[in-house]
Amino acid sequence: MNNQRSINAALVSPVTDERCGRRTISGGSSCLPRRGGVCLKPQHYDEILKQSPDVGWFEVHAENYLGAGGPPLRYLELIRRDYPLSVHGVGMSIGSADGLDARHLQRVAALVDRFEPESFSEHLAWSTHDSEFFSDLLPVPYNKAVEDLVCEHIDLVQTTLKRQMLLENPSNYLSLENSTMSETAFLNNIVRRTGCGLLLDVNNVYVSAINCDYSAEEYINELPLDCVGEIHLAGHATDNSDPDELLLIDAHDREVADQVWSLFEYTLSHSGPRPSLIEWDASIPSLTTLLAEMHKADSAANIVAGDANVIAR
Amino acid sequence: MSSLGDFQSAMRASLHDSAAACPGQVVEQGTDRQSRRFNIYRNNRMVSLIDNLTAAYPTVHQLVGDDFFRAVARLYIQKTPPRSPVMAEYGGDFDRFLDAFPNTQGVPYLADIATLEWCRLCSYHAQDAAAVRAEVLSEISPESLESTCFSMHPSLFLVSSQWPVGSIWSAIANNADQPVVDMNRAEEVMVVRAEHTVSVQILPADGAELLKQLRDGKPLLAAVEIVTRRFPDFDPGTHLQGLFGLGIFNAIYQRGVSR
Repeated sequence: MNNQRSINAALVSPVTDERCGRRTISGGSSCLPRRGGVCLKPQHYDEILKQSPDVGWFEVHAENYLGAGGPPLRYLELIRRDYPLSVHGVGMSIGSADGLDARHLQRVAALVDRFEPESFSEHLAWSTHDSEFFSDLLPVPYNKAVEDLVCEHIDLVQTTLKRQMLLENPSNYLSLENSTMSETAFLNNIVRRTGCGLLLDVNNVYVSAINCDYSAEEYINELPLDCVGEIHLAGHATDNSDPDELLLIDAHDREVADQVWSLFEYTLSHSGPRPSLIEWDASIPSLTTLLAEMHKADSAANIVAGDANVIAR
Repeated sequence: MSSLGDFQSAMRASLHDSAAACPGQVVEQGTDRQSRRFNIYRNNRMVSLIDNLTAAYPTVHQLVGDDFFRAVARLYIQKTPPRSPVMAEYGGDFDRFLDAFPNTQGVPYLADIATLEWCRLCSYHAQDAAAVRAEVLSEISPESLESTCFSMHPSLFLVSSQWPVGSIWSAIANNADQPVVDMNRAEEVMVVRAEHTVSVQILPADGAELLKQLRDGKPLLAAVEIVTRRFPDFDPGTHLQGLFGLGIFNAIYQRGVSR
């Protein structure tokens, strides 16, 4: 693994505050290696420790490691020794009108302090209201008041964690009447005002573009790609309840779709290589299947980089 | 920010009520098209919470079957939605819900199995702590045994049931073909995480009584005396060895003096 780490280190290129926004974040920026990574699942703990597979980095959901002790934290400690780590929150509810849950934020901060991950990210969504947790990522309207609120919450997260965070774009199923700007305008403003980076989920972009009828490529073009510190790739499902209207669901339960691979290549051709994660959260496959998807991401990145070289010559 | 708060309250109400329309702030709110889309959120939420309970209570799930489990889990979620985003902490009173549920008479021990499964989950996530070795006992002078007390490992839980819950759980967890379980037997079941594995032990009545006395802070000699009064054949040496072997003691201290 030692050789592996030094190669990774050479590929690391942090999302810098200078490129990303006017705000300066004290503490670290996201600096995962610019290659494929996979989500870390309990089903694969022992296999990973035994075989030390060549994986660029692992990502965990913060909420699965907030217990007092026990095997999950012990495994994470062992695996983290050998691999770069991304901690990805799914329950911070950044878009909550009620404000952030201070206790939850403190627990996440303790986790981040303990494992010192290369990256911390959260979603542009809300999942808690009136002290109830909904276990789903719910949409916010895009307007100035919500922008102010989200900026305030991201400031609080970044101050508490003493680092830059990455904000992930949602998958959309509906449009909201109170929106006065596009999602990409909203994200641009947030990045500029808070100095946070972006976690660009290209599957979410594809799903949203189909569901809400806009161009996925244009969406990508409108983002500040310099500020993308990580990319997510995942499989989606199709809701077949109405044959007349294609409706996609962000399911994370299967291989990445061909159209999403194309969008990934399109993105990389504009952004250059990025840390790219294979997400798979339901019907968890073998580690071999996960790694095969990761290799596809690495090959796509290599092909795009090769094309860029040809163009440069 | 009231308008965002209003929207989130409206969305919450629509998420809870499957017959409700999607909230007013959704574009084309009244149409079938939007209802279908809003249902994705409803469905995501419910499936994710039900799946979480299924993972926490695999034996209850197996005992009642998938359809019944999902139906009862749905009712539980409606009554007791999660308050925290940490899903490992959700579902701690599912046993009480099952106990009060009118239609589980066919499986009267279901709630106690749920209690046992929740204790296993808590044990799995409990604070790491060292276990005291049995040899430490021999280092204690006979005169201080009178004030020797034990603190329990944070992963230790005890389930007392009028049903043989440990045997039933174990038969199902081990996929026993034709389990023979004496259904008339009450069981005291101990759950503890030794090293990294959670173990489930069915304790004999006298051993369980000793453990309860020690857990409640009785010094060793007093605890042994109480148990021996109830169980004249009680052999404290064997039981203590057994309990030490399972790593259930986190520390030994003299009453009034912490070590």
